[in-house]
Amino acid sequence: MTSPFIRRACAIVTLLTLTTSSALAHATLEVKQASPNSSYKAIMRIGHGCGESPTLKVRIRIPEGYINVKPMPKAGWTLETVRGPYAKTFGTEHAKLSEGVREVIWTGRLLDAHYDEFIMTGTLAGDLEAGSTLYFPTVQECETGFNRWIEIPAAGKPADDYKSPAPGLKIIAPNR
Amino acid sequence: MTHFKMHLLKRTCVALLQTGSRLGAIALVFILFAKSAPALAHASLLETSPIQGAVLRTSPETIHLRFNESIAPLAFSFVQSDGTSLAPDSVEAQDREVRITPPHDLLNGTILMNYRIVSADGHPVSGVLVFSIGSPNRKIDSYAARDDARLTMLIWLMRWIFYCGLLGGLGGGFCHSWLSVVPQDPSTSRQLAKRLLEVGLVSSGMSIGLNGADALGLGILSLFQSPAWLTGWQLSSRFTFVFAGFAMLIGRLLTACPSHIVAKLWSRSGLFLCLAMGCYALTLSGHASTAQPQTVTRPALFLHLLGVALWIGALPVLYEQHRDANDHLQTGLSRFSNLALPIVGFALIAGLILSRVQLGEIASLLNTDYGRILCAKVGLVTILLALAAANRWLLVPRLKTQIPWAYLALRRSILGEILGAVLILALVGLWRFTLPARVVLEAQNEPAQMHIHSSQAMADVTISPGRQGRVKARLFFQTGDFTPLNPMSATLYASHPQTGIEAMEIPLEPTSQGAWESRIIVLPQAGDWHIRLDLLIDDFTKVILEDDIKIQN
Repeated sequence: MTSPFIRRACAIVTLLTLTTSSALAHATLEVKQASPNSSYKAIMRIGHGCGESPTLKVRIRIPEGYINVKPMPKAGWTLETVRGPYAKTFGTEHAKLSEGVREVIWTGRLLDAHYDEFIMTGTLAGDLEAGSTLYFPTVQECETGFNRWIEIPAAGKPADDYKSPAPGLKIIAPNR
Repeated sequence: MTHFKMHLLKRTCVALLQTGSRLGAIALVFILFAKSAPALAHASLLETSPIQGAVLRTSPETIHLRFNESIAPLAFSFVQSDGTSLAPDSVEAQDREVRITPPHDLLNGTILMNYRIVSADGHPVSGVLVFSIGSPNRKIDSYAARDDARLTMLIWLMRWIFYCGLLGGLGGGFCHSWLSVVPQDPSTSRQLAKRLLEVGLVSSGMSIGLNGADALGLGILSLFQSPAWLTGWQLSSRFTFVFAGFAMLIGRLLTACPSHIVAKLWSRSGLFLCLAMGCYALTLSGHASTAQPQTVTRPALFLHLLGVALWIGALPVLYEQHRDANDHLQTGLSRFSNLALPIVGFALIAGLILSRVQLGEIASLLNTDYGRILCAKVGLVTILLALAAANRWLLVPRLKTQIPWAYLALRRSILGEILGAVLILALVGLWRFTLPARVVLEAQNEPAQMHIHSSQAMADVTISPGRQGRVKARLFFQTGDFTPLNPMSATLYASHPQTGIEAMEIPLEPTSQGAWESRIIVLPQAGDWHIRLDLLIDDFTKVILEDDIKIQN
């Protein structure tokens, strides 16, 4: 028989582990909500390697509706982009955009013991619906193994139900 | 028959004639049965294409059903979602496989394909294959073909009468000519044998039509129409009924012979041959006739039946002979007493061998209907043996000392034995409606199958065997619009929420045939397992498919 105290202590410890791990153990976006038709600076936080193996590559798939993306170079990291057509043409104040960056790849080295951020800016298209979520599937390639933060939660299921959820950006109605 | 077998047979016959050895007689039985029989077992469905619950884009060109043994097709129908039923365009059976061409104008939606086949042991097997064209529009959990209860009752009744007629009638006829020393006219036991043979003859004829109606899944009224009888005539069980009917007919004619002193010897030999033929007929179809190894089961069944027939057949004769304290009866009684032990002994040993084969494992004694009937039978047989032992070792010795009550007690005890024997035959008739435990065990080795469907991808999941323990998973993937899907990698997660077993991660490997397979894994529990499939389509896209699959105990 376990005493109620031990049981409660266990529950608290488990809860703490869970809450901290959801912040640290995943690839996450620092800013988790934004409005349509605004600029958005995506800061992808990588908290650990693949197990203890250092990260050698970070690849981010740009979601449909996040346009005119420009990644920020990082010292010590090689930056590559993959350009491609958008599913549809977006009209901005300045021009019509039918293609742009679809994938950003940073190649370098990040120890499991260290933390880093990978940054890009861009614009959220005007026709994104408030309440929807944009997912930034992210693949972390390590010296040994992969982490694929690419699981997109099924409707009605929280991202916490998944082992490696894709980082998400909630679209909210603009403040007027 | 091979030369070697002929040689053995000759040697055994010579040995039999020279020494009259009982062992020689048994050897003869085994050699006669030792024909090279194909591997047979009760038919169970192993694989279907499309799989159970599949969702197809268009109506399938052909449907395959694969069984564990060769089968013959009987009836097929396609029930569409609007309730209409269509017949297939063609049905071809080759060895263990049936190929069905469905009608080309099947409606979109969920289709139930009813099938009815007959397996090598003569038992019809029926089932339903559910698949959907386009998209499913009905949820089918379980669907069983209904049987006519009156037909079932009648089949059982006819079985009972058939066994009474065959074993009691032929056994009684022979035992009458063998044991009755005092000519008693009219002899009750002889009359009884005659009546039993008559009803037995009728029941063997009726059984052909009844089995045909059952095979087609028709009701009792179909007995008045020809299809039931024509189908019954195509089943392997017809051999049993024809041979047995013939044996009973000849037996009936022989019992009518006047007990003239010369004719008596002839009719006695003739009746024994009829009895042997009747017992042989019962080994031609049925559960035990197809159990492996056949070189053991069929002779064992034959000896079991012969022993039982001699035992049952002797009872009315002994009952009749002990009407009073008669000096003559000692001859008949001692004739039987000398042989009673080996007869009952062989029947018992052969019966035990058969039970062992049919049960498969001891636990089946209580878990299966087959085993429960066997338990009841063993219980009754034990009572019968106790009565027989009391007769043999308690009452019969007292007859010699002319204790008056011993006769009455012996008669009552014999009457009890007869009643018990009739009840046992009724129980044995019930086996017609069960699957032997060994077949139930085999059926548990059948795979569990399911189809998971989403707009992005579909998966056909097969877990074999579909029971708890060591299993292997095999999967086929398709995209949402029915094109083949080759993911970069696939992982299966199996969890058992009921008992709190968390998801086990099971990596899948592609095979050369386009399937994905797991290594051997252990599912430690029966019940509903939650299956989740993670398919990595490209570096950034993962499709997750989830559903529950039922794993047997």
